[in-house]
Amino acid sequence: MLTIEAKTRQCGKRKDGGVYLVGGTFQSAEGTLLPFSLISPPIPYPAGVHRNARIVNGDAILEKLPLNEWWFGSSKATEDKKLGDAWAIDIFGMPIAKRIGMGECARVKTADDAMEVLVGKVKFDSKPLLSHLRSLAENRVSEITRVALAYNKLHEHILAYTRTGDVRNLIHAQAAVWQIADRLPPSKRDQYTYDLAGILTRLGLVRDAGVLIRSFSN
Amino acid sequence: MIPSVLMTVGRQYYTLAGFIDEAKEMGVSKRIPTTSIPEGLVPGMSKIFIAHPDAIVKVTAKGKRLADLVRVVLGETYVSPDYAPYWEQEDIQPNEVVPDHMLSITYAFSKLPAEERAKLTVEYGLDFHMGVIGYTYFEGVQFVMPEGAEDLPKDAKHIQPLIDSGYVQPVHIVYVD
Repeated sequence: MLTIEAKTRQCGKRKDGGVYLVGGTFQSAEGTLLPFSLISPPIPYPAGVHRNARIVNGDAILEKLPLNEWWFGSSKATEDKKLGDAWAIDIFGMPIAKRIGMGECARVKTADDAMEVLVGKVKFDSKPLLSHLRSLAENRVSEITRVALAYNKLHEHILAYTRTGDVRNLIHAQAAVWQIADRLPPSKRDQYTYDLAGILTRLGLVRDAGVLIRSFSN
Repeated sequence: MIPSVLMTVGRQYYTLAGFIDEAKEMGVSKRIPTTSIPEGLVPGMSKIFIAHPDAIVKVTAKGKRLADLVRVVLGETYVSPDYAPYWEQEDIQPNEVVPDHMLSITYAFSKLPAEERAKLTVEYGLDFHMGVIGYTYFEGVQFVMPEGAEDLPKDAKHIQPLIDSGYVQPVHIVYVD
């Protein structure tokens, strides 16, 4: 076993049982590695702090290629999945794995097929739908912090549909309904599930409405 | 292609200058979760890239410009007349133009006393962004054996194959300060 002489760092001493990635310490057998090299100006990295080491293509970073070209190996698979999930949550209100095989999409096997089914079924039953939307507003669903963003999206897409008639807004609206249901605290579900299911019904997605009630009623 | 890794530094442990100074003196030693050890790194060839959340700064206060901040933290001689205009969207992307002196600016800023940093942050409406500030060459993955232990602890048994293959090296640390 190797014994290493070290100085205490600002972040403290190394923890027993910890695993460390090490570089530039001049303790390699070769003893010839370069110390820390600065990148000036810094290369923007639009991300939050993360504890894990992301596997990257270093050349893609140094060439300032788009972020999605930085990832490599398992980190690429993780980022691709994140992108896929983000897309699915925007379009379906849930991950693809959950959407296919459920409700209106019970018989489909791919995201493309699920989208085709939803586009084919979705409709806008104006008066009762707006009544459920009003009921959500009156019951102050937008004041529940975790739900506010999805509720605003629902509102915006319904309004956009009434202005433009663009069916994509109805797809986004049904996704927002699922997101609201998913983010509601369990204690609040009974209060809002009926209106959420009502909106799905008035969007032409009756089977989804049934699944929503079964999944989110207490 | 030889894989590298990208890691971030938390500002609660290191200011930008604090990290850079230490990395230049002592190299980089970054703890990672025992459950996600990146495989395939090549000693001496893979790089460990480091990003810090205070690497890039945007001046957002009305009537203030980056040049004004540079004048305060670096001095008149560093002021460049042709700083590129800032990106407009909230998140800055890797291919955005970042002023040449940016690392000198943020490095010098992070060396100021905390009170002065706080004052300037408000006065200039400073908005900090994560940026990759440098890299070092990967030397190895080390597992710190608990003092007196000869065998791997129970909760680290899953890394035994990586130790057997030589990819992860068990070490004892002796502190000299």
